Parts: sequence; C-alpha cells; structure tokens
Amino acid sequence: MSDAPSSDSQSARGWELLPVLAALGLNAVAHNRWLLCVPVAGLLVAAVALRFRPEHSSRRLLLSAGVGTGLGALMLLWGAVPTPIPPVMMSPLCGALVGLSAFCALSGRRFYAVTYALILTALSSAVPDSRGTYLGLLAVVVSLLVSAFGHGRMGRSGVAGAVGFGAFVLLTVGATFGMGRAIRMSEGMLTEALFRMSSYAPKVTTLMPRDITLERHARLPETGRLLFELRGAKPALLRTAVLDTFDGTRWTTSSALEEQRLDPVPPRADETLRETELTVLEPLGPALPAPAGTRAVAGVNAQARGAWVWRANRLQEGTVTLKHEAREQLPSEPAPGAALTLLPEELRAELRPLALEITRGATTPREKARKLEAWFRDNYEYSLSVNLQGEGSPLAVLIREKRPAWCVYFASAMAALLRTLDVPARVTGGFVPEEQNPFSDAFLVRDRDAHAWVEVYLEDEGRFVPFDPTPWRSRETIQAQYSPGALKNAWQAAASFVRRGLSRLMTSPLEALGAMAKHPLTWLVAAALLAWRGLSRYWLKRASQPKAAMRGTDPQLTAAHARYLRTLRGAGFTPGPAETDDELLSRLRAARGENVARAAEEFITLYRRARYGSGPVDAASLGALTAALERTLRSERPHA
Amino acid sequence: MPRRHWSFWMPPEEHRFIRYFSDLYRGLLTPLGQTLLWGTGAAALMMLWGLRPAIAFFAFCTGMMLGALVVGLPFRPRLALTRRLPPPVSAGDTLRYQVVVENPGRRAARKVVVEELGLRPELRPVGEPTVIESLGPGERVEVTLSLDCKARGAYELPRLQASSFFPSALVKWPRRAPGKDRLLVYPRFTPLAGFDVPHGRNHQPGGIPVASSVGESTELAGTREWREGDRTRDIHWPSLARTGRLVVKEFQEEYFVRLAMVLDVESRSAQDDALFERSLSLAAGIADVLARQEYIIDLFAAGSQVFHFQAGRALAHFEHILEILACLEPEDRLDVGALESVLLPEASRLSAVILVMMDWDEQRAALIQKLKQHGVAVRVLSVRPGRRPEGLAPDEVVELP
Repeated sequence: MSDAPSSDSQSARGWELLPVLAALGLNAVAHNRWLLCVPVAGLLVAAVALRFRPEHSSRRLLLSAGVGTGLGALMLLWGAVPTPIPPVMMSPLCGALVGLSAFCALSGRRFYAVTYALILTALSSAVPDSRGTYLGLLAVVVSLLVSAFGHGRMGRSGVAGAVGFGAFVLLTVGATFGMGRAIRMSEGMLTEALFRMSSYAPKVTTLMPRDITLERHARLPETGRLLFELRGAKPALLRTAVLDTFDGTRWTTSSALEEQRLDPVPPRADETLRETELTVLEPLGPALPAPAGTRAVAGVNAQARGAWVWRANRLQEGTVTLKHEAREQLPSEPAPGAALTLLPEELRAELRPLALEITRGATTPREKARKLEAWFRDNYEYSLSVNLQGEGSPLAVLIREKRPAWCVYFASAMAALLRTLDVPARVTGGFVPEEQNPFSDAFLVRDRDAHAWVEVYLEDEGRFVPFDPTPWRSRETIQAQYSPGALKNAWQAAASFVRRGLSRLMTSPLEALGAMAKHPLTWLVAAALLAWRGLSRYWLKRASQPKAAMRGTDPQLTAAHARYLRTLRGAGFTPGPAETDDELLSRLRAARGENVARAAEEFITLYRRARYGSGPVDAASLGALTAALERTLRSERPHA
Repeated sequence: MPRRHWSFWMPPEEHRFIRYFSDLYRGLLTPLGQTLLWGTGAAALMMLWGLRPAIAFFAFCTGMMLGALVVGLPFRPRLALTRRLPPPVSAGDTLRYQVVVENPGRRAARKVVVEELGLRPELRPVGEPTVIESLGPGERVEVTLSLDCKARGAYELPRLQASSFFPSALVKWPRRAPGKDRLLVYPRFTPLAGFDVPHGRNHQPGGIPVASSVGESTELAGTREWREGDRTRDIHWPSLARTGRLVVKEFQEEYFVRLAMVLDVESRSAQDDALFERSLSLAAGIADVLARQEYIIDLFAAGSQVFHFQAGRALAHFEHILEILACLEPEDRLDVGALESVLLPEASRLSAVILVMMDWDEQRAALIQKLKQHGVAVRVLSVRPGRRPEGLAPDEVVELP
C-alpha cells in the first residue's frame, strides 16, 4: 500500500483522523482502556489544531509501537476484560496498535493509520456483547463511510456523486445485515470446520452416542472407516452403550446407570475364559466395545459401569484383551424398577393397541419379545434413509406404515412397544463384527458395523436378554456392496501385522520378543540365513583365491614381486614401462650372463604360475628364488 | 536487461507470484479499499471465537466490500488508452510520458485513474496517479505518467489500466488497454573527462566511397597538369578554358578510423553483475566520446559466445550502440579462444581496440599481446577492483573514473 503524505489542510487532516479517533474510542469502551486512549485522542486533536506534523521514519514508527506496547502492558495493572486472546498478549498488542495508528495519523500516513485503526477495531470487538461496544463499532462504521466519501471526493461529482454514494451505503447496510444473518445461521460451523482441519483436534469416535434423537426425516452417513479389529474368539455383539430413558423422541442414558460401578466376578484359576484381542485403529473415546459376559480386560485400565458397559480412559491405540464367558450373556441381576417401562402417556396410548395386536396370543415377556422381533424382521426393510413424516409420533408412523428405517428405529420401536406392555426393555448400542480379512483372519470392525438392538429383562432368567428386530436380509444386501477387494485386504493385513508388532514391542518388549522367538517363521528365516551364509562362504572361498591372484591382491605375491624388482633395480635393471618379462630376461642375459638370466627366469616362471595359474604356490619358495637371484647377481660380474 | 540470480531472500517484488497478487491488490482496490481488506482479515480472525461484536464488525467489513463491488459495476468505464512514449532515458532517470484517454462510450466516465500495472521491479511508478473527475462521451484527455527507471534494459509495458472507483472509493472497476509497448532504458553513462582515442598503424581500406557505397564522394584536393594516362573525365574544364592547357582534378581519399570495443560479459555472481553494470556504464561513456567524432565502431560482446555488432557512421549509430548495451546479458564465462577467432581476423582492418574487461588474467593479457602484434592500438579497462591490467604501457591502461 503506497501512502504518500496527505495534505496539510487542517480540515482534511481532521477528516482523516476520524477512523483513528473512533477506533480509540471503541478500544476505550470495549477494553476499558480510557487511561490510554483518551489522552492519545486528545493529543491527536491538539496536534492537528496546532498543525504539528512530525516527520515519518521507520525508527519513529518502531518507537511508537514500542511505547504503545509498554503502555498497553502497563494498563494490565488496571485489570482486563475477558477476551479470547489472553490479556497478557491482548493488552500490549492493542497498545502497540494505538501507538502505530496515532503516529501514522500525526505524520500524515493516513492509510496506514486507518489500517492500524481497523485492526485495533477488530481486536477491540472480540469482547462479549455490550451497548457501549456496539456504539463504538457504529462510530467506526460511520467514520469509515465518511472517510470513503472524503477520499473519493464524491462531493465534486455533485448530485451523481451523492446518489451513487447513497446507493453504496444502502447496499453496504443490506449486505452487512445479510452477512450477519448468514453467519448467525451457520454459527459454529466455520469454527468447527477449522478445528476439524487442525491436526491438534482430538479424533474421538462416538461409537454409540449417549443419546439418540429419532428424527422424522434423516439419512445415515455410510462410512467405511476401520475402527478396530478383533482376533481370537469372535463375539456376536459388542456392547458400547445402553440407553434406558425415552421421552418419546429421544433415548438417553440415565445418570443412575452412568454413575453406577459394577464389579465383575474375577476369573478363577481353574476357569477357562474365551479371549478376544481388540486392536484399536482409531481413537475410541471412553467406550470399550465388549461382549456381554466380559469378566476382565487386560492391556488397559477399564471399569464396568451400569448395565455392564465397559469404560476405559484414553483408548487411542494399542491392543486390549477381553476375557469373557463362552456364552455371551449378561450376569443375573434383580428386576429393574418401573423406570424401564416408562413412556409418555400419549405415546403409550398411541402404541399400546398396536403392541397388543402384534403380540396377540403371547403370554410371557419372552414370547412377546420374540413375536415383536419376528414381526419387525418379517415386515420391514432396512434403509440408510428414513422418512417418518405423517400423523402421530415418528414411532407410530414407523409401526403403522411399516416404513424402511435402520437399526436404531427398529430397536426404539420394539423397546417402546414392549414398554407399552409393561415389559422392561432398553436400547443397547454397539457393533456386530462381520467382515473377516482372509489374509490375517482378523475381524474388521468399521463405522458401518455399528448396530442397535433391544435388551429385555426376563424374569424367568433373571437377566437382560438381547433381541434384534433389525431385518438382516436387507441390511446384508446393503453391506455386501462395500466388501473390500483382495489387494485392499492384503494391504490391511500387512499394515495390521506391522502395527501390532510395533505396539507389542512398545508395550511389552520381552513378551513380543519371546513370541517372535517361538514363531516358526522366525526359525525358518534364521535357518535360511544360516544356509545362505555357509554356502556363500564355501563358494566365495573357492572362487576368491584365483581371483585375488588375478587382481594382484595377494600380499605375499605382491611383496615377492616387489622384492624381485628391487633386486633388479639394485643391479641397474629397471624394467621399462612397455618392456615384457621376456625382453627383460634377454637384456639380463646379454648384460649379466646366462646364470643371472636363468635365476630370474625361474622366479618369473614361478611367479606367473602363482599369479595367473590356479595352483597354490608357496610364498617362501618365491622368496628363496629372489635370494638366489641376488646371490647370482653379486657373484656374476657384469660383461665388459 | 540485467540477469536476476534467483534467491529466496531477494526483495518480494522480484518474485513473480508476489507481483501478480500485488497487481491484483493495487489494480482492483483503492488505498482505502486496501485498508479495509486488512481490517476484514483481522475481523475474520477475531470472528472465529463467535463473539457477536466481532461478527458484526466482520459482517460490516465484508458488506462494505461487497457493496462497493456491486455498486461500481454499472460505472465501469469504457475507455481507449494510448501511450505516447518519448525517446529512451538512461537508468536512474525518470521517464515521463503521456497517455491519451478517450471515452468512446455513451456515458460519462467518473473518477478515472490511469496507471501502469504488471511492471517489472526495475520500473516504479512515481507519485499518486492523477484522477480524471469526469470524461464525457467522445471526450479525450491526456494524463502524464512517470516511471522511475532503476536499471537498463528492454522492458515491456504490459498493462495500462484505466479504472473508475465511483461511487464507493474502495473498489476500482478496470478497463485495460489491449496493446503492449516496449520501453528501452539505456545504461547510465559514466562520464569520461578525457578519453584519448588510440590510433594504430594499420591501413584503413575502404574509406568514404566504400562506406557510402553510392555516388563518388571523394574530396577534391586540387588540380595539376595533365599527364599521359589520366582519365578524360577528370579534366578540369574551367582551368582548360582559362589557361588553354589540360589540367586534371586531383582527389583525396577520406578514411574513417575503425575502432573495436570489446565488452567482457563474464559474470558469475550478484557481485559480478554489479561490476558488469559498471562496465556497461563505462562502455556507454566511451561510446558517447567516440560518437562525437567520425569513427566506425565494432562492438564485440564476449562471453561463452562472441557477438559482433557493427555500427554504421550514420548519426543514429550512437543510439544503436546504446540499444545493444541496454540489452546485453551477462554470461557465466569468457571464452578467450572464441573471442580471438572473431577478433584477430578483423585486426588488420582495425585501428584500435578498446577492451572493457571484467577481470584481468593471463589469457586476457595474451589476447592483448596478440592484438598489439597485429599493429592494433589497445586501451584496456578492468572494472574489478584490485585487478589493474599489468604488463602494458601506462597510456594503454584506462584508469577507472
């Protein structure tokens, strides 16, 4: 932004000061900074009246920011209003902006001054509602419009300018209200989206919400996100939440159930329990999926709460072992009170005739529950979208008109119908593990495996017994569309193997190493490595000797040859760079006689055999030949 | 145009994408609009906490921007723009030129601002653009724009924009001229107080008749008695009429002094680039001195390749040399062998060679010696501080000003 010094006209400078003065006023009102803003505003007005204009320079600008920061920090002594930014930062920041805008306004940098003033306005407006704040904002708005009118010199355009600017103001007002309304309507969405984008946001998966509202028109998002996998004994149902309170459209978990702590019977030494290993792949939140009859949980600090729902803290990753009875049934407990048969009277009146008609002929709670379960399974279709618009409550529409829905609706309807017949019933949420990875044999549990069913208290058994009214035939048709391919399964199995291995290594390294040592694959790999090592050594050793000789890397040979050359050089026979051994021998024969040449020839023959032949040669014999050559050279006089 | 060594730390306007956004920012918003945009950004941040006053301020800022955008659309001007560029200026000078703004539309254009956009950072607009309050249909007006030309080069003026900020004074609705213009900025002259033009011993073939190549423009030197073999066309008839004897005209051949200027364009770093600009500035100063006399100048730009430019003796040749100097780019190395292969064959026809060197080393010294052996006078400048040419006579080395 280029910002040339503005005119010296007193009135023009006065107009330019307006947004700065308004921003100072807003800061004083909103942040209770009268002690800072009022003197600064007074100084500004006085400086304009006295035609004082300091020179603009970077150093002075920094100085003004520094002084403002210091004064802003000092203002903390007089308290601070609650703002989203901590006061320790907010107060000095606002102080700096006050200093910067005031100095720029004084030195004639009007656009910089307005920029700092608007940023100050934005910071000042981040406070709770108050009349003073809105009045301050209004002052800033008006000053900005006046500035725009003055800066554009709209007065010079006469009527056209006035009309055009008037239209602009009207449009601005309209757009402001429209924008404000749009933001209020989407309140929280933007913030939530931003926090979702942030990697710091905790990714808590709500497996089964604590409350379920039965909407008349809704759609279930179908996601295939992998949440956890199971190894070992496969449970039929994994429970995560029990909803026992119903107000007609909303199921919730009562606080009594939520706060109740239960102590399962610890496993006896002679007792054989089934074990299911649960590997968490996505953060699960507090709910720990566990089958009915779970007696103990290893690998995490877990607690059984009311209705035998297990809770664990910070279950984000790792592997948990569930120890449960072979028969998945809840422990016996006394009959529940009237709370589990409560329904709004209108709903009871609406549903009871339907319930009586469906359960005609059934006398016991078990029979009633079975009849209702079968009725839902036989007469309904599973669907991921539901439309229950019509006369009466959503459940009445669902039951009367047999509209398609998903598990939560069927479970709610069955539980409500049972309650109208005074049979204690509640809705239970959790997962049904179905998908198995053929490569790892693990059961994969995804978002879409979430399920809801009904638990009915049967007096003859003295416990709650699950009934599932969901029509599985049509649900399976939908589920079949999402079966993953072989490649995806293989990749998932490999990733899972690595993840589990690392997890075990981190949590219990000795156990993990022990398991690895016991694994037959480990022994197979170790045997293969040993075999390869032994064979390679054998082959390398056989091949290495001649190859080393060919390369001249045998140190004994190299030393013997060096000694031979040294001997010849000592006698004045330095081999030429292109001279062959035979030529050297001829030269020796001519110069020093046959004996010397023969001694050298013997060495060179043996050396060649050692270097280029395949047979082993004793280095000592080469040394002896060199010594013989030295002796011969000493004894044989050079030819004249 | 000076080559740019890319660096993350170079000034922001050197980055192309920053220039692009800066053009959008300056081209679509008035200074007050730019101010409001910053305020909107700050308000958007504060709004995230969901406090109602912050939401209200954000709504007002965006509402004002939207209102300005919508209300200005009907007033978008329909204008024709034409630049009237003056002769080129030197680096460091301010170029002032006129832009003819014509309104061919049916409605008056109000609050029109004419400005150049998409300029390279070497060209900076000077001062605030003039505001045309109103331009009626068919009316024409001239506005003066000024550009501060910081460096030599051949530039493109890509976008001439006329925009109206009526009636919001925040958002500008632009209309752009379709054509692009080329702007040449000469290197800045380094004034040379007394540059002694060297003269060698070589015969200069050709001369004015060859150089002119049209007509016989040899100069009449005098008359003499006719001798056997003289051409009859050279008989001076007035003398014959006056004396009764055959007298013929004598002519004198006129020769140009032909000089070569060798520019070493080797540059390997940003520091070298600065030296290179200095050498071009010196070359422009030398060319200025030479242009005042009747010299033919051959220009050799020597890098990894050698480019040979021949300037004529026409009056415009000085401008041509400056244009070449304005457009020269540095190269990573000087190939002395290539320079020799181009320069030495020309040596016999050259009177002198002026060498502007980026450095001084043995290879360059050997080239000078070879030129001297060809009877060519030399003048050598080395622009690198502390690398004064050695092994040459004092008058052969030009001291840096």
